[in-house]
Amino acid sequence: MSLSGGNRGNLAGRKDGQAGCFFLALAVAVFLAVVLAHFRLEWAAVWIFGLLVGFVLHRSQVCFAASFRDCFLFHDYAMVQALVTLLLTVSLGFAVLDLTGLLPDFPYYWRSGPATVLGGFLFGLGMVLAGACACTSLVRLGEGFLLYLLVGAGLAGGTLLGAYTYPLWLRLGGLSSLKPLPVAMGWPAALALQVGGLAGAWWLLRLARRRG
Amino acid sequence: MERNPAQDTVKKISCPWSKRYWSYQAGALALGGLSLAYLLLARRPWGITSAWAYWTGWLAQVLGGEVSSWPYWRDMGLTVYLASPWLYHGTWSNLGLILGALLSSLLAREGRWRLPRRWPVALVGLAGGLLMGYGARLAMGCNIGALLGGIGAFSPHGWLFAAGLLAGAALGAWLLPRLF
Amino acid sequence: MVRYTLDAIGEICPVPLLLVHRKMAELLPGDELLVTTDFSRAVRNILDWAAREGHDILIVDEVEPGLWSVTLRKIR
Repeated sequence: MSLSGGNRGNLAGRKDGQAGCFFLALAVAVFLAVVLAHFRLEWAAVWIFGLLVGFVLHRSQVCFAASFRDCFLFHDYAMVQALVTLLLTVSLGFAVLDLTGLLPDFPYYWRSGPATVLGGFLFGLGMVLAGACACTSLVRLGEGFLLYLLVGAGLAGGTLLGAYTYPLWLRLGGLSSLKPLPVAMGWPAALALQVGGLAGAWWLLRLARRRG
Repeated sequence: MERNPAQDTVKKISCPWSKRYWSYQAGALALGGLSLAYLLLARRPWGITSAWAYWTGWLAQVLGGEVSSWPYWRDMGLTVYLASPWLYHGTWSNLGLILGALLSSLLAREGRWRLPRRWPVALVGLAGGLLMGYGARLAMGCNIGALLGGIGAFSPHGWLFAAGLLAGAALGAWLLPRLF
Repeated sequence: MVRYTLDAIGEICPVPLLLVHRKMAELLPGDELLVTTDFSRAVRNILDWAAREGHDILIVDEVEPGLWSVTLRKIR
């Protein structure tokens, strides 16, 4: 459903300084891109990537915190379906990139174990309370929500505490590297399992949305 | 779901392209494409919270804390970023994210300073931030680093994270209506 | 027909929709509710929810830059 962002009828022609701020911010964006490219091209590329992601997230209003939360709170499955679309796109794209030999550094390993599940749990609770996840907090900050400065401070404190207690989780034996699915079972099985599972979930969510 | 006539009125409201919402599906596809581009560019899945880790570690050191000896940094193997976090490319993608959203909202002429309405909102936000920060360090990433990056790279830890996330969001959805 | 107003300015997503949800439960069919919010995502959340529930969306208006008001009419 495409609903518009509101009628601007009674705003037309009003001088509000938004255009001036826009061009100022654009000038900052371009200036920093040039400066970063001067030092390292990769930084400029990543900077532009960030700008594009910020634009896409603001315009489409995709919000990871909303995806799971709204299922439980309002029985709204639109956002979680978009999340599954995102994971499907990235999975398929990743498979194509690796199979065509464009990812020489694959496989990637992360430390994981029971602490990962607990981390996900705390993160999930936190993102519902804060109204945005780590990523969309940045978008909200860009939109002018000063609350997300405080959320960012909390994020910093939690991060420091997490880094400090890291040895505890090591000692509890929770942090080993799991093999990525294609390494563990080969690409065909990994694709069938993950892409098949995601596609199934997508179809189920579509059914749930049709039912209303 | 039956349609009501007002629904069509809303759709017909004329608004400039810069104010028009994209569908969630289109946003998801665009974000997926961008994160694949990042993967090719940086040769690592995209992440948000690693930059937070380096910056807070750096700040703690500037304030006189002794954090560089923590096993966490040794295991991450990137102590150079702890000394100068601006060298870490994730810093620039995060800052770009903020400015990109600002540009988009100014282009739509909807930029404004938005203050939390009451104190409980701020407190709950701070608590949420703390929980997210701690959780992201346990899971080695956030919704982007662990969920999108992990599942997107076919790593089982992404699925473990998603299972925890689902349970945490369920608890949050139970708690939130009782707080506000 | 009674017209209610709900000021949700400064509330963080999903609280605006949560408040609308509660308020609409108190309304009688035919009553109208005017919600004001400065959270762009909440506007879309409210509109999606109202469409799913079958309430009429009468007016969606941006009263100031980044400040929206949505008028809903309870149908059933």
